[in-house]
Amino acid sequence: MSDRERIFAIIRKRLFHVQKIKFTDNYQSPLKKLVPDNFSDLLLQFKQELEALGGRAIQISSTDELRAAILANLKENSSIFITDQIMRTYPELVDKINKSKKYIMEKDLASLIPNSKIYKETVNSIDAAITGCLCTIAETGTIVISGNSRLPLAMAQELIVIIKPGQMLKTLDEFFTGKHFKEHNHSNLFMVTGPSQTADIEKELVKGVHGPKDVFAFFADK
Amino acid sequence: MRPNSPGIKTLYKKELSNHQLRENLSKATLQSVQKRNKSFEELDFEYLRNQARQIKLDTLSQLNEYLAQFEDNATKNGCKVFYASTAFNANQYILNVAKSTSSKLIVKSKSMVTEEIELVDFLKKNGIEAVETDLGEYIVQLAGEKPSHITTPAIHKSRYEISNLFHDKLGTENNPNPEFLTLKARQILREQFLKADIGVSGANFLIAETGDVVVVENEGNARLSTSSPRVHIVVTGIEKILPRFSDLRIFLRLLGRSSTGQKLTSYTSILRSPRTKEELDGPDELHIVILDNGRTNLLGTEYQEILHCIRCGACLNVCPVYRKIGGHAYGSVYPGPIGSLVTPLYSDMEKARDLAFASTLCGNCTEVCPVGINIHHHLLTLRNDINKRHKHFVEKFLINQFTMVSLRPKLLSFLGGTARMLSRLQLLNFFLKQWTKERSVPNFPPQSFKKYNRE
Amino acid sequence: MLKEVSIYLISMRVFLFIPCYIDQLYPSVAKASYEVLKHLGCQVHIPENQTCCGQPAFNTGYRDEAKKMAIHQMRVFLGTSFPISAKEHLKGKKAVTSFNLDSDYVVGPSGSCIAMMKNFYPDLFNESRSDNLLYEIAVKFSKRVYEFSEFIVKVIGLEKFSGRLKLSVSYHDSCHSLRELKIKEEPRMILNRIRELKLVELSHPEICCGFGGTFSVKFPEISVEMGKDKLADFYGTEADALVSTDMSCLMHLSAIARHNGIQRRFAHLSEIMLESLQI
Repeated sequence: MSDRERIFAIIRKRLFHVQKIKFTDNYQSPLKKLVPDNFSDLLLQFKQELEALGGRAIQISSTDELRAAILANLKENSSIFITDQIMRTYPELVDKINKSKKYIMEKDLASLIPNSKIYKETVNSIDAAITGCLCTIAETGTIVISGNSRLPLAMAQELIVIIKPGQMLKTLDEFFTGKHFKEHNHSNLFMVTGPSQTADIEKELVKGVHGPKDVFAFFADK
Repeated sequence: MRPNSPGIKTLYKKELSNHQLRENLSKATLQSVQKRNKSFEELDFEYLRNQARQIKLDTLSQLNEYLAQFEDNATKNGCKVFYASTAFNANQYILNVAKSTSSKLIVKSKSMVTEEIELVDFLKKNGIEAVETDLGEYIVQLAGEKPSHITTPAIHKSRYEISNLFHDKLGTENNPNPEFLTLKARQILREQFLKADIGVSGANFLIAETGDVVVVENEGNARLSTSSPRVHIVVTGIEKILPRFSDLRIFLRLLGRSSTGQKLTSYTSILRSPRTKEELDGPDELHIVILDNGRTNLLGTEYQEILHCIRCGACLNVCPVYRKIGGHAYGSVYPGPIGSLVTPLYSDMEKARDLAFASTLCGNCTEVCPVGINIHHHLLTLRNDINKRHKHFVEKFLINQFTMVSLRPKLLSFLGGTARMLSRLQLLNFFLKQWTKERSVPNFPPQSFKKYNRE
Repeated sequence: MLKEVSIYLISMRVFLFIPCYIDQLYPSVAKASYEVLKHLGCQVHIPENQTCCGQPAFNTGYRDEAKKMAIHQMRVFLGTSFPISAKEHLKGKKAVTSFNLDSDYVVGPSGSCIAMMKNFYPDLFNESRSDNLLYEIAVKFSKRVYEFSEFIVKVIGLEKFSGRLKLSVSYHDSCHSLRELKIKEEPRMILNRIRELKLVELSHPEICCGFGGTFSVKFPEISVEMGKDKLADFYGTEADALVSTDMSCLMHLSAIARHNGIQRRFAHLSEIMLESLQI
């Protein structure tokens, strides 16, 4: 008898007299505060949440402003990763003339063998990663990412997310009951709520353990 | 789990006498409780935990169906699902995966289940190195110790102890600054993430409806462990299943807050499948090992709701006994109030007696449990079951005698008066030894109330 | 005439429950409870044959023994309202009192014992079908049972009480009162009614004192360390006395304090109330 058969048999036997209970979802929001409806209030809530965690949320209205804001927060000689999606939307982001920044495009990484040593070493040299996202959640200051590369976003010291209009969700309820979030075609969803942190040493908070130390959320107007 | 290993009765005195430990524990647990309380202020906690309870009741009452649904979906997504009845079988499967992929190095993120099955030791015996990547787990692994708390494994160590440890084992300069120590760990472990062949993680939840594996964390080590190596193995228990994707809105709201007072942990990974063709990285293989190891013992019994546990550690943080003795004193993988139930009921019934009585039944654990487990009542039920199973003859005799006397009011009054008189003559001190170690004997009055009232 | 009628109307019949350890070790608490309830206009009866509520056996995991004590206790209080078998009738175990299940009360100065009778007596008789009748009795009985402070605030009415006592006190929430009976505000409301009494809150009033019944002798060192924490909290408030609804907690704490040479007062709520009435 395989373990699977054994386990299922035991469960069947033990639950024989247990009544089947069906959870009926007459759901009410457990949130005591009223959830705002308009974008600017939601953005304010998102900003408060993310900044309480040590991240930054900034509203920008032009690509020049975006580029300037991003570069202002990066060190000299930073190695910057940019996803395909962002490159297509904001081609002006890459400053071809500026030699002090090294740009690693997602499409360049795509030419390397997945999970190979060279891939990992290249990714390990990334200081900042710029990506888009699936959506953001105001209730918790969360950014949900589902892209084609995981490691650049999880290894860099700075994580920079550019958020389009219409991507702001109000609550976790909206996200977890939204059909098209559940039915995605990626291998995973990555929910980021602030920087990497630990309090394992005497409960003292330290940021930037294994993942990004800084998280920037740029909300693009157009 | 660990039969014949020392239990709480043997271990607690040593832990209690460790003043550094007590100071660390007190500060850390009180802080966690304060944060937890604050984080629930904006939510209807009772409503949420009742919802969670109802979902778990649904889940467990049809566990087979949900397990089958999960397996079906996960398999369709390209994952391999393996059921393990015992710790040994789980370990064996993982070893086989390692051998078939010629793996030598494993990176691990925090997983209580892997502690339960003693995976790291098993792999080591078979020539495979498994490195803990959660900072707290890494620290205890370096120290050759076991974790002492479910969510903060090195809660018992001070920064100075950790600094000395790093200095001794890694050759780093002796600097007790947490930021410095964390950065050192980051550097060392980054190498391991890049080199490792296999990543092992636990799972906080399994979603039957979609076949998703949900992993929550703060550091990013689980993300790296589950994304960098070519193979990812999830090790988890049968009770981690949730029916629907939408159930996460309840459970994620409860987990972070109960554990550390956070609305959500820094990262929540919802893993569905190995790397797709378009993706540049991610594991090529995703194995999900679902473990029984005694959990099915609780199904259909009055203890069943103990399987609702989401391993948040809130009961440990509020427990005044845990605060005094720490996790190691319990002599079991799962410490604290929930551990005192899980350890005997899953496997180690011989440890039950001491664990069930190592509590004042204050009920603080039940008060904070985010899934509504009536922990202290179960400890009481356990006491009952133990007395029926392994009789403690002297105790039973004394209780019988007291009962007999209590049914005879005049006898009780007489004996009470006699006891008081003997005590005032200092003749009862031998019997009161356990009380008088650090306490005075109360001044027993010359007359009982009833006697006074009669006159 | 109207005054006499109204006094008669508000005069409730209370059967005072005296925890066995209070009877033997702290009779002043029983005396204080009795006097205070009388002062507040209750007709207070003290069933002579009451012994132990059964909690020590129950908490040590001996349900059957606890059941026996519960039956005895209910029989003593309910008197003729408790059904007895023909055999027992023949044995001459006739009840003296008659308890009115609609209007009489059982009140006791102990959160843990009252929790036993109120919350756990029904549970004791819920296991086998042969206990059905006893279960029904236990349920009815449990509805008439009140802890001392709870009774004063919720049934008698706090406005009937006023006292004066120049004292500063701190209050310890006993686990049974707080978590089983949900009593948190009532003792504080009573203390705040006493003029010139100052109530200083502990930093952590809700943390267990460490007594835990058999825990205190099974794991004495942990029990004492927990007690020391509570005492340190109390000493930090610089209050004259530590007050609680449970003498068991105070017995444990005072024993530690005395052992360490600290002279401080530990008083049951009823004793403070009696003192404030200056009768």
